[in-house]
Amino acid sequence: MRDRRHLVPYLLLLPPALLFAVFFIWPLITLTVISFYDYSRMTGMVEVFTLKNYQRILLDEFYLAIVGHTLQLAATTAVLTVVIGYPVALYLTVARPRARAAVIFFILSPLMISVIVRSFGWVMIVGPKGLLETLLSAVGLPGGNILHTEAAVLLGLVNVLLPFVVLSIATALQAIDPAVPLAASSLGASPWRNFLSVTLPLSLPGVLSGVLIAFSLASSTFVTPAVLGGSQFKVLSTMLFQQAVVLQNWPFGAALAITLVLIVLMAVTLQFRLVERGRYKAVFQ
Amino acid sequence: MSRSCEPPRSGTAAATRRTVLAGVGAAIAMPAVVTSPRANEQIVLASYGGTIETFMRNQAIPAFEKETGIKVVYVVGTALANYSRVLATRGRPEIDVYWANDLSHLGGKLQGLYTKLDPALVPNLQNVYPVARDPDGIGVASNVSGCGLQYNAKKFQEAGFAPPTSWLDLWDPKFKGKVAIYSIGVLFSQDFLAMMTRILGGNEKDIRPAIKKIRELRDSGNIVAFANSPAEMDNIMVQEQAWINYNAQTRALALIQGGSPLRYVQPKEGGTLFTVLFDVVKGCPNPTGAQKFINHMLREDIQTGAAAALGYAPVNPKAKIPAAFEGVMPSNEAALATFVQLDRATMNKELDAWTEVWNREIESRR
Repeated sequence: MRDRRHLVPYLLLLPPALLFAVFFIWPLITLTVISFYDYSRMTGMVEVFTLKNYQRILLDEFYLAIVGHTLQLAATTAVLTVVIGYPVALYLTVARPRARAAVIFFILSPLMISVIVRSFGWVMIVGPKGLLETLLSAVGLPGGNILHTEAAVLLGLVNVLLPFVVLSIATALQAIDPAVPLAASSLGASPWRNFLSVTLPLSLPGVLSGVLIAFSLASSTFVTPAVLGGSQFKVLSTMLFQQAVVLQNWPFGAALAITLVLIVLMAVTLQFRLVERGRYKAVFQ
Repeated sequence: MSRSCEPPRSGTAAATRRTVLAGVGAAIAMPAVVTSPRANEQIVLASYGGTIETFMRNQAIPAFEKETGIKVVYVVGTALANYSRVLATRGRPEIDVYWANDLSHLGGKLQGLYTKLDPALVPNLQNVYPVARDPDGIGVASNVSGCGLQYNAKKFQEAGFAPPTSWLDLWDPKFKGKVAIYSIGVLFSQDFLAMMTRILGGNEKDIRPAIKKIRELRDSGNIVAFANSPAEMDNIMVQEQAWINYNAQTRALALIQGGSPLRYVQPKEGGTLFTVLFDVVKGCPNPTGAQKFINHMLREDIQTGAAAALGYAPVNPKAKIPAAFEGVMPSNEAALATFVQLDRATMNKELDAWTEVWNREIESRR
């Protein structure tokens, strides 16, 4: 009887574990193997070991710049999302239930629309003769058409990543024992001091996981940079799409994909390190 | 697809995994096809969506099914998606016949993906222009379209511009911020690059002068947008974001028919020509049915129908083209000869290098 009960957690884990193995681990292994294959247009994919796909990424300024641009886009998105999302999360902790429900619904609403529809919605707003340009030109201002710029991509990314970050920070804020900030106040801390020394550090786990989610999703997103950034906006995801789908160069496409996976993995490791070793280690326990 | 994703409810782990794997395999191999038990009685056709799908489903396929009793299973995809599918299932092909473009035809031919056509099964091979026939007898061009300049006649008139006559007009400073071109992933841009090598006195073997010239076009500020697809290009032109571009006749004719002020001109250096081709997949379940279908698609009446419905010029000289398209659409061998035959073999071989150079030099941010 006891033994059986012991098995229950594993049995519960089995379906997701199988799905994970079949749809994630196995494709990832295949992808890694393919990334070391050779390819030429005349022969197709050749199953011999070569490092040239990775050399092409790591030894070439053009591709390094694309890796750098991907990192920069993801980091900027993450920071912007946290800066915009933190006040919202703070508000959620003090709001009345009704107002809170309304704000959460509002924040979650971008996720209810498919990414393609949402992106084209943004095109109509920031594109030529779009809402933004019409409004700005009505008051005599130029520059309303920001389609195919970094700003447009950031706008689209922050819009969709905000719910992840807000909910993540709000969860951390709600876990703070209300007695702690109260104690700080009673000891004479100003509200500002109270926030900086008590609330903010205690909410760091939520901030960090929000940053991680935003960074990972922003670095691997395809539709938003493709639609709002245009074809001159090059990040790893759009480059690997071109290699894999347009040129059928699966090995090089796979190498670009693995590079992307490694970037996200590095972000996860970094976050883990901060959590385990950082100054605020105690907060995370 | 979703069925195979459901968590297993019973059975041992190993059996479950096998079931899931089999499901995954089937789902990846061919999500859109449900194979009927009488495989002989059907062919699987991979083809395009949009107006082509409408034409095929409403006109071409019913006539074929009625005549032969062979059912056509229609799989929709872009040229590249269909090619990727044929390539991915080469070990166990499930597509019998598909509509390739110049690139996927040549690429697949080099990799041995297609079979030779049997003239006994495709008697209409004798009735098409010689240029439509493949030198090795693998596949056949079924329809062709020219590619030249498209411009907004209304805007040109308002601005007092004369209609364009040359590919080099795109560089004219008066078109600053008014030119749209395609991304290199779209065939028309590859053709544009190849055409520019010719105009600059060279050929496809060396693209450097053409790249330099097109880079000047970008740096001049004339280019307002790079379109990622013909549909996006249509939007850019219809919304008057750009006034002039290079485009396929098929697109231009469709817009003219819809009453748009856009017009097509054949540049004086000649237009380029691209084809769509039927290829029978090697080792496919029903090669005989596939070839019968190709023969059907080369018939006079179907070719006439495709010209009217799709704006694709026929390869069968007996087919008729709509009066409205005369003067634009090539309707005989002499008209076809006014187009430049690009060196498709070199273009296919060098596509990766061309894409790389174009990415670096042209389609990146200044």
